[in-house]
This record gives sequence, structure tokens and C-alpha cells, in this order.
Amino acid sequence: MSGAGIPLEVSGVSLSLDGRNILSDVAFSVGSGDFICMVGRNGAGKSSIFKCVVGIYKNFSGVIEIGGARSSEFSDRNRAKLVAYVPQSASLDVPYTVREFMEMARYPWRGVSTAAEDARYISEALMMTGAIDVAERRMNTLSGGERQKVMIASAVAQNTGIIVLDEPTSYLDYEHQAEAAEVMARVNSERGVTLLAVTHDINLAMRVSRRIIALADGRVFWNGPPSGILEDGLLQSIYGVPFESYFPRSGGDWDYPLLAPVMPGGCQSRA
Amino acid sequence: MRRRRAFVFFAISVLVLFLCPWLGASPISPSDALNSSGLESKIFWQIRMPRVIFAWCAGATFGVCGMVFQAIFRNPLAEPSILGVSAGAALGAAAAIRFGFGTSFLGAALPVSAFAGSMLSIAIISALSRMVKGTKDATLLLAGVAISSLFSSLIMVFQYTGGAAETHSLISWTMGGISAVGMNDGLRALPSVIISLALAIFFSGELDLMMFGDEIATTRGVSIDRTRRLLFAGVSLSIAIVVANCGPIAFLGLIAPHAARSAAGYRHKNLSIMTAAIGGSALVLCDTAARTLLAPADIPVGIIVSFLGAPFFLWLLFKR
Repeated sequence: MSGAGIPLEVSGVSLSLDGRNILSDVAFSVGSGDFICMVGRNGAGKSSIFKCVVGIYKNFSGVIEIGGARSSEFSDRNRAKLVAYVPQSASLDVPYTVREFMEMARYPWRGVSTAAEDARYISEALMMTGAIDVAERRMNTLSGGERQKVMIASAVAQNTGIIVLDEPTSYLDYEHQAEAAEVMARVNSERGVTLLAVTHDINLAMRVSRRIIALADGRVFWNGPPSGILEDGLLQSIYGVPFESYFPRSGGDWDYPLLAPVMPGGCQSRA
Repeated sequence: MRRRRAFVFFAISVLVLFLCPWLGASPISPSDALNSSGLESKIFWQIRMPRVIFAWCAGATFGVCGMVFQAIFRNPLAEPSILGVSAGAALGAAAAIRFGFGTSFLGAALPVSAFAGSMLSIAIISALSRMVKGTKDATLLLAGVAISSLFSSLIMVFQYTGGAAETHSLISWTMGGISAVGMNDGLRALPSVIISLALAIFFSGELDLMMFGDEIATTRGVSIDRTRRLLFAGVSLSIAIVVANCGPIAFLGLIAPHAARSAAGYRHKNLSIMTAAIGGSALVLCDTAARTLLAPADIPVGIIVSFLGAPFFLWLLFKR
């Protein structure tokens, strides 16, 4: 079985949906155990490139290699043994218990993994993500924060070398955003799983990722280490609004300043 | 609690299957039934038993197909009659009756024509689903509603332009009724229950994941288009076989899976078996009522199912 991180290579990927160009010649590579965040404006193609990687969009041109093998040659089941996905929003209003939902994450390994192994992966994932407390609850009774933990736990239980997360902290309050970030960092550092996350939260991207890729109009606009994003005018080019940086009063473990957009019309956010 | 309810439902199903053949216009004792030369024995083995077996298989098929449609379309209201399959069969039967070839080929022309009608609606829905990609769930469901409506209007044209006798037999057929004489008739719905139940159990893991939407199912490893096509073809074929033989019976495909979930939970492996047990025994019970309430007259079983099914479904909805 996999488990440790595996590399990903995206070269010359273009995608059109309903006659509209979504991605044009996107290329980047991600090493084993890396943690990258994809940033950019709405409609820049961030989610679309990840949907190509996880097999939701199959009609793209170009090449995606997962662990050195072409993604297009994988069956859905074999791809699901290598890449897990945490969607931005999923229809979770089905009254299965969390444990039953976790068991479904073992689907790609059916016939390969024993029941005892499945149970072990599930309980490890529940423990690692802190979702063990809600294991017997029904999916449709969970709060937003609990759902996100369960979604990440189920991706971990799938035991893949890559986990792709689409806006994992959207719709969460500050406490749950911090919890989700901590869980992602733990999965990356303890399991060595390669993580790719789409996010609008530039501070989160700087805090947890090892590299940031910015997309604009379906193309890779910038690709570099988190510190590079502080280059003069870069964030304004990516998001179309200027950014201010602030240094937190009480140190903490932050390596970088906090970034906040300057609101249009002179209405600046107060630090 | 759930386990106890599952046990009770199963016990009732088995009891219904063993008790109902003994009930009818004339009482039959076990010794009469086992005496092979008597009239009672013939009634028991050639009329009641085949009818109970057919009703159980048909009811189980309606239930399991409803359950599969609900998972494929992620819609708790999906059932065979809403997808145009039943309306297609009704149109085929209506054409056979209206144009007077329903009784030809030893009476086989009517079910064959009904089967062709349901396959026609399946072909139209499948062709539409291939044309419109992306929004498959809602599109297929709405296409089914449109086809049902179109076929119903054609049936009404046949009724309006037909003679009194044709119109009467047409209306009776669309009400749904079971008539089985001899074991060959009794076993006519057996292939459909075997196909639908085997598919539902074999694809139970896929059905579970499909409840969470295409993105989750695909990224957990389900080949969603292939699975959906296979399931859709299999359950449509099962429904076509049943409807061709007993007319469209609404509501069972809706009620049986909903009742089964309260006892067996949502995992489709156990749910399939419980749905078959509940759907099968419900139709056997309704058919027993249909042939005994106004005996010797036979009430179309579709009327009993709808009459009892509607309040039962409302009770299920509101007790949550």
C-alpha cells in the first residue's frame, strides 16, 4: 500500500468547458511529501486543475503524471489508491454514520485490504484528525467544522500518497480554520503525504505550505516559496487589490507578517 | 432498536409468504392442499401459490428498483413510475389493446408489446442522457417526467378513440392487476427480482458512495458513468418485465425502500435485502386483499396499493 508521499508532475494541461477556456498550458511539479497551496482570484482555474488531477475532469489535454505514471492510464479505482480528494462542498446530508462514511473511503482497496487493516486505517485517521469524538454521529448532524475534520479524516483513511483539498477552510470560523490547518500540517509532517490545497486565505498558505502557486486566467502566474509572495506588487497583480502587511504584536510561531487587502475607496481594514 | 425492527419486518415477510396462499374466497386446509387429486389442491397449487410467488417477486422488484433509482438520482422521490418506464409499458399495452392484437400469440402479445414500450422509454431517456452531459441526475429525472406525460397523453388518445370494450380493458390494465395461472406464470417475475437484487447487492458499495454525489464517488474510485449505465439498464429491464406482466403499480418503489431504511439503515447491502422483503410481502398482502375483499370479484391490486400506500407513506414522512 502507499501512504508515504508521491510526486506529481503537471505539464501543458489545457481544459475547455462548454466552449470556454478554463486552463491554458498549466505546468508545475510537486515533490514527494511537499505541501503546496494554490492561490488566485475566483475563476482563475485553481479548482479545475485539481479536478483534472483527481480524475473528475478527464477531457483535458496535456499530461498529468502521478508517481511517475500517466494519470490517463489509471482506472478510477487505481487513481483513488494514489490520490484522495476533499471537495469544497459535498452533499453530506445523508444520514450515514461517520464510521460508515469512513468505511466507504476504503472502497479502492476492496479485495486488497483485510477488514482488520481497514479498521486500523479508519481508527488511525479518526485519531489523527481529532474526528474520533464524532465517529458514531450521523453525517447530517455534524457542524461545518466537524464535517471538514471528517472529510479530511476520510481522505487520510483512503491511505493515498497525495491528498488534494479544495478550499479546506472556507465556511469555517477562526477556531475551526486553525484546527483544519493544524490537521493538514500534521498529516503532511507525520505521514509524509503530499498535500495540495486551493485556498483564498493567503495567510494560511504562507503559514502551512512549503510552496505557493498562483494562477491567473487559467495560467500559472507565479510559483515559488511562501516568502516570495511578499515581493512588491505581486499580490496586487494576483488579486487586483493592494495588500498591507502587519507584524503581530505578540510573536507566536509566525515567520511572516500578516497580510490584509486594502479595501477599495480608501476603506482600509484596521489592524 | 433497529435490529429488533429488522427482525420483526423479516418475521412478518416470511409469515405473509406462508399464510397468504391459505387465504381466499374458499378456505383450504393443509390436507386438502396436499391431496393432489382434489379441486382445492388445484386452486392452491395452480392459482393461489403462483399468484403469491408472482406478487412477491414483482413487489420485491418494484422496491429494489425504486431503491436503486433513488441512489442513482440522489432523489428520495425517484421511483420507476416517475422515470417513464411504467408509462412506456402502459403505452405498449394500450397499443396492443387498442389495435386488437393483445390476445394474439396465446395472449403473449400484450406483455411483449408492454415490454417493447418500456424499452422504448429507456432508449429515449438513455439517448437524452448521452446528449446532455454534466447535469445527469436532474436531467434524467425530468426527461422521465416529460416522457411519462407524453406517453400518458397518447394512452388517453387510444382510450378516447377506442370502443367501449377496448377502453374498459385498457383502463383495467393501467390500474395494475395480477393474474397467474400455473407455476409458469408464477415464475414470470423471478428473473426480474434476481437481476435487480443481484445488481443492487453487487453494486452496494458504489450505491453508498453515489449517495454523496459524483465528485466523492469518482474520487473514491467508482467509475460513475459505467456504473450508472449498468444499473440503469439492469433495473429498467427488471421493471419492464414486471410491468409487462401486471401493469404499472405505483408507490411500492417509493414505500418499500423508505420503510426498509428505518429497519436496516442506509448501507445498500442490507437495505437491498430488507427492501425486497418489505416490497415483496407488501404486494402479497395487497393482492390477498384484492382477491378476498370483494370475492369472487377481483379488485385491481394497483388500487389497493395506492389506497393503503399513500397514508402509510405520509405516516412514514411525518413520524420522523
